[in-house]
Amino acid sequence: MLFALMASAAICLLDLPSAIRTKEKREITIVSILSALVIILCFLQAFGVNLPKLMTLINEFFMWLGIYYKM
Amino acid sequence: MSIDKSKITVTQFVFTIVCFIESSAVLSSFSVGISGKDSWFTMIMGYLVFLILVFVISQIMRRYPDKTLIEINNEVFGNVLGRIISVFYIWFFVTLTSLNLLDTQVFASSSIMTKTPPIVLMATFMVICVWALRNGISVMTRYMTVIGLLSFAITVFAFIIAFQKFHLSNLLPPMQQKPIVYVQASHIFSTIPFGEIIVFLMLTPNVSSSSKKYGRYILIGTLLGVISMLLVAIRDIGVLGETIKYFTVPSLETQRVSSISKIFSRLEVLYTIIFTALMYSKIVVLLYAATAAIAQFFKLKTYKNISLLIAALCIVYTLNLYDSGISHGLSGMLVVPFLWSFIEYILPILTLCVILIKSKFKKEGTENDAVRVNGKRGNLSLGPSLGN
Repeated sequence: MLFALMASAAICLLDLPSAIRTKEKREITIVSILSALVIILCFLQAFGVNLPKLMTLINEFFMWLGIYYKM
Repeated sequence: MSIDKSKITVTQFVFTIVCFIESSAVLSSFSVGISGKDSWFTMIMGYLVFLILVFVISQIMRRYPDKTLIEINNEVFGNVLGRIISVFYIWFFVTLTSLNLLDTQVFASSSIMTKTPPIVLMATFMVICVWALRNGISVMTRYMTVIGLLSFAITVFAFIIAFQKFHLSNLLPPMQQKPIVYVQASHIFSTIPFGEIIVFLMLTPNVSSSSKKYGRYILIGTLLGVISMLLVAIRDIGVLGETIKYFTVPSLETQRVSSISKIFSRLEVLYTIIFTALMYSKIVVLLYAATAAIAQFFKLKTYKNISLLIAALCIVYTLNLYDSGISHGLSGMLVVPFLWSFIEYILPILTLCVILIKSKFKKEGTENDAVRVNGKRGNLSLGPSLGN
């Protein structure tokens, strides 16, 4: 939880203000959307939500395809 | 056009590559676990395969010296297909950053800071990387020469120290395993440390060089890195023998058992220091590549505005990569070499093929135009003469 709070604070205090300082609508929109996504992910992690283990899923997919070294 | 205007010297570029390769010594456990005492041989074989990629990368760099990988994709494949391919690369850069962060955290948690929560280790490490990143690529790579030379000096020093425990018989007899073992281990070496050099296509426009001999720079950098890795591998096999297969970080174990009398002992501290510095050099380059690629993908003016959020994303991603350490190890040995081969070898070769085909058609088109223009001129000049 502490990590989620600190990461959100850092993003809101450093990344977002620098994007706002550029005064470009596109820059502000994209940085805001990305920031919101990352902050949501941080809090989901903090609350113990089981996020998909991407590399494990890819492993299983490759093994299902049969593209791997047999031991 | 680069997203970062600052320039780096050729020396900085070469030593960044050296550090990048040297830091991968810890990842050698994937292939060492398979080929054991013949790892030095598979390392050389992996390097020879990697030379194909050096040729491909240098050709791409020579044709687009002022463009990053994302811009090259847009130019070569067009806006739609280029962006789809760029997504693969972005995912690759972010995943690689997270995987290396995971390795650093696992190493630190298991050997130096056993009671510190992993998230604190990762967050602290990433804050330093972001700090360097926000100051630009020139600041980021400023200490690479020092780190690279120091690492090489420590490797040689550790080799001398470990000489008492070194048994040449541990390396013998060579080549006694099944051929598939050598294929698999060489494949791992060619993709996991060496093939990752593709990330340097994001740094090309920042190299201030008049000669643009990128192939030579990459070759020198990787050769210095691979010599250092070979020294480490031969030392570890000579000291640990067949047991090398059972350690996650063989170099650390070698240094633990090495000592000169009772004065020079517990030398693993040297390894931990240089390992941390090398991992910084690798992660900072990967984080730069990921951040710059995302910024260029979304056509942002600067990558600095998203550096912290990409670092936070990498930390969350690191925590959600694998179910367990075993899953990570098996993935590195069995599946990842195939996955990485697609991104590190097939995509760049495809890019070069398209570049060559396009340039050939362009050349033919120009020649046809020239013939047509000459033909018209000929007719024009023929006109009056016929009249005469």
